[in-house]
Amino acid sequence: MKRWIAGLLALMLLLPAAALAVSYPVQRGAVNDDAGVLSEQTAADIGQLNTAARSADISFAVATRHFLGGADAQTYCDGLFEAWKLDQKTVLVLLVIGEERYAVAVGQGVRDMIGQEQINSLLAAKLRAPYLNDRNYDGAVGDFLLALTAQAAKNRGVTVKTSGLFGSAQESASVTQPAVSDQTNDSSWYNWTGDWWNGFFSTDDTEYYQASDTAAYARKESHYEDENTGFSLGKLIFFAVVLMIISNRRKAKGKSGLGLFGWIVAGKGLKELMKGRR
Amino acid sequence: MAEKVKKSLHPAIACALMVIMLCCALLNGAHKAWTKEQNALEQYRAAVLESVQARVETANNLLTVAGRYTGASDPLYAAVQSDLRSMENGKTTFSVVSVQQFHDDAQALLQSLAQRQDVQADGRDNMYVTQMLPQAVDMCLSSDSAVAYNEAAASYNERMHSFSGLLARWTGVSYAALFNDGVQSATN
Repeated sequence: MKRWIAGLLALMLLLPAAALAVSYPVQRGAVNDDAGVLSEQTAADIGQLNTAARSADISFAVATRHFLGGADAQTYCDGLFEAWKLDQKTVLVLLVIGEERYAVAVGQGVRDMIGQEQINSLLAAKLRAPYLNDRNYDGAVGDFLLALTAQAAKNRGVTVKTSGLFGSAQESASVTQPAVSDQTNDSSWYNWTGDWWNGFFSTDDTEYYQASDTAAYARKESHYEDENTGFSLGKLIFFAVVLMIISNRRKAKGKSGLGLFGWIVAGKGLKELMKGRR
Repeated sequence: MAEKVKKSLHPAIACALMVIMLCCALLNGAHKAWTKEQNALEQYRAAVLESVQARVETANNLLTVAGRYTGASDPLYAAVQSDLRSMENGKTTFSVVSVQQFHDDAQALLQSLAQRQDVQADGRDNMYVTQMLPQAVDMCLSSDSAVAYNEAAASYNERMHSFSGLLARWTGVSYAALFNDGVQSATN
């Protein structure tokens, strides 16, 4: 018996070393300068750029780390994008100072607007040299973000005021082409039937809803959520069943029916059910 | 006759219910107590695994910086590289000897880098080599010990052979896993 038990213990797994999931830092805003290489002015400029670039449907997040402990920079950057649940119109720039590497994760909305090739060429032209050669981290981030903003503004046909940011004097390019109106981006309009129909045939709900703006997606979510009444549909059904069991005993005494309270609860449950389908 | 049967049934049913409730209470109590202890061991195990991960990352970071100034031809670099490979293969990850060995090799490499003029001329790498990385290497020594965990887990597994442990195993509580280096015996 003891040998059997000892054998069982001996069969305990050789636990794999370093096979743990990567942990990501908590996001603390648009700039997460864990390596402490960006100036306060740069961090402030990034915040202002995010405000100014809203009209161009683009926003930015920057993260710096000293090391990644052997992890691949692009894989880590993509994971960080997911972990922070960044919007599909966001560009996340990761600088790994000690490893002299950088990576960029781009939301689908930005990729559709600018194109991955153009983003790569801007990376090479604006970020790589100052980052790697001069260690001018402020300059590298500033030039790259300004270039992306200018490209996004050009594609959207809008003007983004970036003068004074990152020490620049120029504004982003404005074009004479009229702005392309896109009714699917109108966040003030929401048609339950139409969106449900389109969503049913969409291969990816996330991609569909990103086109309708995240505000519309959030409104759709709220239809399914219990609106903080503290009393979910499941609980209502449970109580209704309990009341029905109790009422069955009343039947044995010659009485029938749910009783007044049961009808009230059942009615409330029905109302919740219909709310979800509205 | 029917009345007699009815009267004798009531106490029998009551006794049976009482026995069932007693058994349920015993099983529930055993399960709760052993689950609590198992959860505490699981947290300890997770902490040990985290410290292993930290050692691997520190080794990688050190080799990244050192690789800019030296290479595998340097015996100090090669020693840390060998330690890292062993950790990643799970061969010498958990023993006290291997943790001390890695610490000593890493500190030797850091000291040799700190004495190089080209490292001293580079503000960033000088900071890594003289401050950040030595601190990380020292922290590896004070991290959670797999040996202490193994002792606690072995004791837990031994006590699982008791009656309450048997009840707990019936309710799904399992033995604790042990860390096992390749250099140690299987029976530990």
